[in-house]
Amino acid sequence: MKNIAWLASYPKSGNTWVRAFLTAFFRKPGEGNGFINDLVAVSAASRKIIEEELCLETSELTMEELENLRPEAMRSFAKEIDKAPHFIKVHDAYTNTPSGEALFPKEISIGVIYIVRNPLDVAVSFAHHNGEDVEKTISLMANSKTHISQNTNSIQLQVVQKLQSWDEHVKSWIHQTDIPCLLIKYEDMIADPETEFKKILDFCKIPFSEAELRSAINRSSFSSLQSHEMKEGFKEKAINASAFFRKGKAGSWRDDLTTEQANKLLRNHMDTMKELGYIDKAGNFLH
Amino acid sequence: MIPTSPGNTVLPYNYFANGLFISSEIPFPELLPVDGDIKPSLQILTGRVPQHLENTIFSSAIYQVSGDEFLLDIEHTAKYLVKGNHTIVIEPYAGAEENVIRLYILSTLFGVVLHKHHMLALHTSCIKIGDKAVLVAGPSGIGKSTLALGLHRKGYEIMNDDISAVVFNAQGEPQVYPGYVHIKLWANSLESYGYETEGFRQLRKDVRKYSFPLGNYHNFAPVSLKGIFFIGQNKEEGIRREVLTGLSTFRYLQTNTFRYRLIKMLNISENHFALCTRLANKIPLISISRPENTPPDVFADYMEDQFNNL
Repeated sequence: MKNIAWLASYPKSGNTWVRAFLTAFFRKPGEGNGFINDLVAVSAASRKIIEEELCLETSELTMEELENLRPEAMRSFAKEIDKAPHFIKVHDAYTNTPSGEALFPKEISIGVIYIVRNPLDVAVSFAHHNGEDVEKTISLMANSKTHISQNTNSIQLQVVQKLQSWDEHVKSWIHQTDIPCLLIKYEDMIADPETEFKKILDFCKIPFSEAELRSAINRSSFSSLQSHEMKEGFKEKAINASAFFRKGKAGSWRDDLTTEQANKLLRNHMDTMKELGYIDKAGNFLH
Repeated sequence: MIPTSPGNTVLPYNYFANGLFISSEIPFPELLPVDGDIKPSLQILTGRVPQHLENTIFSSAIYQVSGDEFLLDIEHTAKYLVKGNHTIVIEPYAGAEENVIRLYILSTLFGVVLHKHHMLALHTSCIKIGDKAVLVAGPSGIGKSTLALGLHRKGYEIMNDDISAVVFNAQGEPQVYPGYVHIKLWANSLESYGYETEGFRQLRKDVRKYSFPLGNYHNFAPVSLKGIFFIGQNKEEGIRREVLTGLSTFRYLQTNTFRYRLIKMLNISENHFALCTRLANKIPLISISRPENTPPDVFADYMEDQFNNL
């Protein structure tokens, strides 16, 4: 049965904002503060969930064995769901396991909401999140072998996730034809949140009123999330970052990147940036 | 002790772990060896394992559950069949490594057997503090085993790592059995305490996890349990401590039950609920959350203090 809606994105592209909107939407106004640390959508890479679904100790599996078993973990998770759609957060690229199976099974998938953001803004945000310099992040975003949560000498609370390069990540999701895909741009969410969040609810066939939509948008606005983080902390903030909800703007890369850094990112990701409308045919920035 | 089953075959290797006397066809260096004859509660032997069980209640690509049997099929390693609560049959796949075959028995399948013996099997380490025991629970990767190593270095006896079998004595007081005679540690954890990995048996190639021997314990009897600590992480600057009350006690015990999904599959939900309720009414359950970058020795000092002041 198809009951999973994947919320997929490269890191720092707006995934948490969408989760916050959905959380606010499903909670009535005034129904408790503290929702920031109780957001909808478990992670597809949660080691605890994978272990529970497989009934196996994942730390004793090789990376290849674990990757081969992840689709089964998701199928098992989906069997226990009684209300659709059920949202699952994903940072992995859409790839096949070493045994050749799609990492995200189509037979359980209603669709994927793929959230994309200008890679120049992603680079700045990702660098802050990791506590690293932007040059290193630019290289990481260009590398087909980039993973997150990978450490062969210890265990992480999440399992290894293959990101690939930024543009490979984007293309893997928006060009695949196994799972229906709704593309949402971070910049469009900022410019016109009502239209974009409405698209998400319609895509998932979730009924709503205009009042409910506006209320959820207000309660999950960037300033609201920043305020929540300051008061309550945010458990998903990386240890090296000063804050998770930092700027929340489109185009702030112009303040943070040198011309050389911006051009490097442009060269690395030009085709996909054109396809997504981040640059025009001549290579001029549009965002 | 746990009752034995009739009609057992004499097998060459005898062990004790988690309240069970075990006879095995294959050696288990992770378990406490027992000299002399025993009446085993559990036998482990090789044999034919079917591809499918009949009348399955649950099934997935890797496990199947029928009324009395549990089948686990791990590609390139083995098929395993748990019959009742008394027998594990292993049918290895060609070329499977012996240490890898054992890993699934020592984790998932032991969990199945302990649940079927109606013990409360928790995903915890267990440390002996004086003449009592405390359990340390938390998700994989949170640092239970690293903490156990830190306390072992301080001279505390580590009764088990990974699965703790909790039972209730005739007076209704909770007790926990000693278990495996090693801690499983990642390279980083060993190196954080100044050890070099070359000195330890690697659990399997391609995975930098090692067996740290604890030495054998001499007493099979269960030890009174005085508290359970649930370890988590926070993004703040200090360690937070909270005594759990009400419904949260059951929620924590549930999520830290060893492979909680097995409870429903094995149709023991009522018994499990009753055990958790009894346990929560008898001992303190405490949540500890620490910043991600807390040095292991600092955390070990903090927890030693917590255990001794319980």
